[in-house]
Amino acid sequence: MSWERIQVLVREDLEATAPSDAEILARFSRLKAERSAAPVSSFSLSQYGFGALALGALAAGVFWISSGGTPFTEGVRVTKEAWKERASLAERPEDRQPTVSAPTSAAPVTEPALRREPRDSSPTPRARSLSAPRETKRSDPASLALPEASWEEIARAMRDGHEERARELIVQLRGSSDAETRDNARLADVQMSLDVRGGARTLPPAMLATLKDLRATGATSSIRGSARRLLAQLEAGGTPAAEELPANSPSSPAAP
Amino acid sequence: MFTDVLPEQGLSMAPSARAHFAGKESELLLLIYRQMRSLVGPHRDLDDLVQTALEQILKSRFEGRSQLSTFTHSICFRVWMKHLRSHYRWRALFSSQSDEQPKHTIDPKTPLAEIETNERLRHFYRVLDRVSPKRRAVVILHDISGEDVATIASIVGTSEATVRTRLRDGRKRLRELLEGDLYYGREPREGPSS
Repeated sequence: MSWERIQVLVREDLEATAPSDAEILARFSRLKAERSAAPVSSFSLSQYGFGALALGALAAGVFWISSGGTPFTEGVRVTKEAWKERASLAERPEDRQPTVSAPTSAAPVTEPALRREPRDSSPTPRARSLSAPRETKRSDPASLALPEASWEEIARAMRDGHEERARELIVQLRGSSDAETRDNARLADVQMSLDVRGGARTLPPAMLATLKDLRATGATSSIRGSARRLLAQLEAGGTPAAEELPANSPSSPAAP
Repeated sequence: MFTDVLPEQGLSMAPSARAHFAGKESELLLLIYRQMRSLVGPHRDLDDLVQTALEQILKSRFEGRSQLSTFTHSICFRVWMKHLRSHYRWRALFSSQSDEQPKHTIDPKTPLAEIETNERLRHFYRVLDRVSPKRRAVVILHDISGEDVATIASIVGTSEATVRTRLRDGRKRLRELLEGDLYYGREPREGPSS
């Protein structure tokens, strides 16, 4: 494919996948509201780190200056007399470890026997409060049902780079009651599970089975056709043929 | 170091220009969004980058010596480059091979067409990630955004000769990367949907 053709394709894709103006404005209004609600620091983590280092260096400098600019060990001279004095001070009675004499009594020391308290038939206050089952409100199944995802939401998620979210939505659509939607979602799931290693496309075995099933029983002809084409590519190894590679000339004319 | 205002290009804002921005934040936002999106593609940090660029533009000075779009484009470019400096090496180390591989093409008549388009576009920008940022920016600005060489030179802050050199080198590198590409390595087939 010529570079001119690629440019056109990329511009078209950018245009086709761009969100609407209203969507952009709404999104940034939300972001702005979120940011104004949460306290935001104007400094990044690295800036805090540098700041802490700078403060530490400043504090060390101030201390050094206040100590007369002398090294920390200077002025502290340990003489023999000082050592002896220090050693004698360490002998203060109150500093000695208290000694505990061994018991002289021959009576064996036993643990107080564990006495079994008679079981109180009446429940403990805590248990009493738990004994009566609480009336739980039964959840309404309808209220638990999640709104079905839409293809627009999936496209939006992919547009925003949220692939995980897109996959979640596709999984939701796989449970759709509509057969076409369900099979389209299965096909999208297969597509997103496709991996390419060393130029060849690969699929996990479960996804391959899904693809084969879609080829045979897809809800619409286009789903069956897409599945058939993908399987053919997988079985062929998935690499483009040599004659399909673009010409070396940068200004090769675009194909019609 | 402790300021989050980008270095200015020696521009100063006239009071009338500041008044021009007031009340037109929405238009400015849409302009910045489109410009940033063409630079970085459908990136997960796109919203943050746009927000940062908008804040920078509102803080910085615009005299009106160039077009507003050129001014905003230059801010977007700088915000993006600053973002890349923070994350470029991390991404180069931790981006996996499978992240760069495309998916197959699907029938354009199915609802999956938009997903396919998104994926193709994301693939293109992933390939672009492998081109040096300066060359990539020039290629995007010229070939995708349609800016001329003189404008690009003022956006990226270099000479026109340098822009032409980066454009040539960037295109050459892209061609090498896209050769044999499963999305862009061949013309899309217009087969019948059966």
